[in-house]
Amino acid sequence: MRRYMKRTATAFAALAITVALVACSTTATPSATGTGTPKGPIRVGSKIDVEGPILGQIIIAMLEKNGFTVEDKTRTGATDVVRKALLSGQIDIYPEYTANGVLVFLKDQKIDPAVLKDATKTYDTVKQLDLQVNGIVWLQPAPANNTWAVAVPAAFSTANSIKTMADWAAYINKGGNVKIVGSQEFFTSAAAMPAFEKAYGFTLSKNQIVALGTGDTAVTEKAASQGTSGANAAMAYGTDGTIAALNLVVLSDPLAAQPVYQPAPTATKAIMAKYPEIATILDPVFKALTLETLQKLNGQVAIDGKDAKTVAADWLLAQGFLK
Amino acid sequence: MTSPASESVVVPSRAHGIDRVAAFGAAVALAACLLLPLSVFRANRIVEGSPHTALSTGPAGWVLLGACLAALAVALLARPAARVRALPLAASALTIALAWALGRAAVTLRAGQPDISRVSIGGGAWLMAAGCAVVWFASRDYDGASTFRRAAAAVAVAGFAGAALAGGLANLSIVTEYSDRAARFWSAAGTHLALAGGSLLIAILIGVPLGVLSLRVRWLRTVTLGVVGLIQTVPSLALLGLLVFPLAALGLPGIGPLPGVIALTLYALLPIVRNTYVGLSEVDPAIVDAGRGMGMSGSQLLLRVEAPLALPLVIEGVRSAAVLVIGIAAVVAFVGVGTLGVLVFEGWGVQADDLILLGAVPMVVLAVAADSGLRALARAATSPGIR
Repeated sequence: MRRYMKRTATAFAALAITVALVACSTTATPSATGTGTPKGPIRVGSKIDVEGPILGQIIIAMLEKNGFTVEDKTRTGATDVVRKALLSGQIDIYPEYTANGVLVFLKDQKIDPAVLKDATKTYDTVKQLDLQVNGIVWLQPAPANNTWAVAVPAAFSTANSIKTMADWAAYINKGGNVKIVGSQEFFTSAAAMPAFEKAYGFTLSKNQIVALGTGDTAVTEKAASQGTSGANAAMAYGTDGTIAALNLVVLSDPLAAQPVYQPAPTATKAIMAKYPEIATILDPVFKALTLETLQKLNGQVAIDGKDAKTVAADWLLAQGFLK
Repeated sequence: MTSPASESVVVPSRAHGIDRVAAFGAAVALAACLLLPLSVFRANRIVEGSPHTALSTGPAGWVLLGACLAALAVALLARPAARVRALPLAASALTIALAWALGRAAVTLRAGQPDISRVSIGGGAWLMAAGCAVVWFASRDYDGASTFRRAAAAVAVAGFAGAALAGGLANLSIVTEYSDRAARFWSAAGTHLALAGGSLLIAILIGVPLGVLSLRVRWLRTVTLGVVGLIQTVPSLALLGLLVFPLAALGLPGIGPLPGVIALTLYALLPIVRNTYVGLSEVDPAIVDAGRGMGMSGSQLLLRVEAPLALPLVIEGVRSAAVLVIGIAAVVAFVGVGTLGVLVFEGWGVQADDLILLGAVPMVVLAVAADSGLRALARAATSPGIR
């Protein structure tokens, strides 16, 4: 028995050491395809959500096709982590949303909030100021608005004929039964729910709100779809791919109460000075990423369960960006 | 070697009549089989699923019911001396029947459905697996027929693999989640292991000397045990956040493997330092005196007398540290290290339960493997005289 134990222990120790050695030796190796002398390496990051890794993989595939060596650092962390990584030069480029630049990264700059109603003004503002203040370059944004929205079950929408935020506000003011699930930030950030309340003239009471610590709309949408805790509305994002699959509809925002959140690659000044061609490589691709396209690609990841890399490559091939 | 037939069988005291532990396990499995869903069908990955019990999914479900009944019959009706072989056999049969039924249910439920439909493992199947494990562990309390038991375990593993290949386990959602990102799964598992293993190694290199010094220097003991104990009370996510500032002050990256290794090493220190210190301080002074009487020097005493006696406890400390670190390595995904935690967070983000499982199950397996491996090592390191 004892000898058996000893043998197990020895075998285990040997295995542990081997595994540790193998694991240590297989850390990420940069991959290079394409032609010409290798340029780079470019370190590409992203948020840990659905859309971030897809956009990150699109950037990676396009850079590799154009002869860059790329290090895949996607799924870097939440917004504050990945932005910090860019500012401190641990990554060179990652996709970010234009209104986030104005509202979060440049919040000390006293920007007129009216800027946020307009896609072009938002982009121009963030492009100019973020370069001036933080040395970050914003490339061409996608013509898709991934803004905050409210989604309700399709059956609820039909039964009460609620199609717009104005309808929803009227329903609330009539004393209709509403319970909305969203992130803490959605209910407290002045640009989100409070902006809706101000524009459409309604106020949500505490017991009409379920505030979560997470900003994952799959969680909020699933709750509204299944009526978890009596929920019948959810925080949603414009480019979510899950809304239709969960039998929800998005309420339109005719008064444009919400800021415009267009995704765009953000890169360090240093890497753009060294390789200015990155802009010409990525600009046409992001121009092609419409709202419907992003919803479709996000749906392939969230609903079909495909990996972001596969989804990105398939789309780039179908569009002729890759051959 | 005695032949298995003549091997003496010792029945555990609880099981002279019926085996209550095994009967409990089998009854749980039976109830789960009859009442709870074996599988959950979803039209796609994220919508709410419809539950299906074993019996509603075809003949394989009836075979599974038979296996549950057989296990219960063995626990209740078989002669105690016969149970020594019958229990492992019943557990083995139940394992294979469960794997087979899960595979068949997945194939049946997805027949004629679009490719994006999913079949997940239901609550009943998990509970049946737990009941089966209880039956198995009950069988280990019987002395004798250990070769037979090992053979039954091998049959269960082979049968499981056979059911996986032939029975359609590949149709389960968790397998789809894996095959959709196989390369990323293995790199995440490798990163997880490297990060946890590397941090553990560093913690041993720092913690053991600290423990030894703590025994000799009183003020160092107070400071060290206090500080490593304090670190343990800081939540892991907060510690990662707190590390950003000192690292930035040193001009070092606040995200990536460095803060991850530092955080994990800090957490691993407490069990290692404490166990080294306690292990050494509990060495019988009489033995140390005897060594001194033989003319041993201080370092000889430490290496030849104290260290061998304290070693099992030190390894126990490494074991707790290993289990701890394997768990916390998941959280390090938040600072840009691609551990198995990334799969868990990604799965949570899209509410795909099977993707969460794909990240979580290997972590459990790693932790259990590290735990049992280091347990065996600690036992092997215990001097035969005091075992």
